[in-house]
Amino acid sequence: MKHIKGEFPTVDRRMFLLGAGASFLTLPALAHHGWRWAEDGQFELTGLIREIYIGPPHGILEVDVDGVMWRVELGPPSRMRGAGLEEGTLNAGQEVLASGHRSKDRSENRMKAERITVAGITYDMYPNRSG
Amino acid sequence: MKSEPWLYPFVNFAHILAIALLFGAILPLDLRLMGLWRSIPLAELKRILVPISAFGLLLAISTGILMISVKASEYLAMPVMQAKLALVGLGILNALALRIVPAWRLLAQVDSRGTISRFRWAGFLSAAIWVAAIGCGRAIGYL
Repeated sequence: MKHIKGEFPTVDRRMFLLGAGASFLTLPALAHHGWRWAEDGQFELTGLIREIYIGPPHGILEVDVDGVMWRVELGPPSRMRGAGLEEGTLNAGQEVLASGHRSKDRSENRMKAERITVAGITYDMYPNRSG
Repeated sequence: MKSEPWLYPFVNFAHILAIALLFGAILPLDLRLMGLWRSIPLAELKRILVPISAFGLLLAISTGILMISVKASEYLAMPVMQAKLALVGLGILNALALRIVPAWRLLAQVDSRGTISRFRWAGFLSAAIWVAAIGCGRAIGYL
């Protein structure tokens, strides 16, 4: 294809700058999905389940740890199903041992669990992640 | 949404597709309004790009409502979600405001090459608002 002199380079440069600017906007988005928002070291807590959400985009347990509420994020629906976790599997009031990674932001009581143990049964959502 | 395992991912997919349609159609129109490709009659671009972006917008809104509905109170309490909804509202207002400008309404009846300063502003605001709205939308899953 022939280029029309003078026209296209200007347009390309402007488009490039626009694209570069747009991509900067998405840079702060680096948590929550996946594991980047959580610490590398293993973390565990034990508490009483207060609220249960099993569904998309990922499950959540609100857990009472000696009077302090913690938010335990579970895997996406496919991971929960694979581990045997479905709606009705867990009940509020049950004791849970959650194992996974704590949020890097220490001001929030939040962790992402790889596996949880309730009533002697371990539900392992990430069998390939050792811990 | 919770009973069918494929439903949420499908709605999520449709939402992305809708945003691609909206932004993919609105950006060329915005750039044209700002003064690029002046030799191309605006009336013809408008005829193609406005319906596509409007369709994308409606699909994005309906799929977005479905996804918010799984945990509505939690999502609506997020500042980044509130910012996104405000930006979407601004984007819609900006587009609707252009519709009442006589020069825009009468495009098909004139030689619509070139641009005017009212169009430049509309195009610039539109591009900035939608880019920011998409940025906020992406951040929702990460905050």
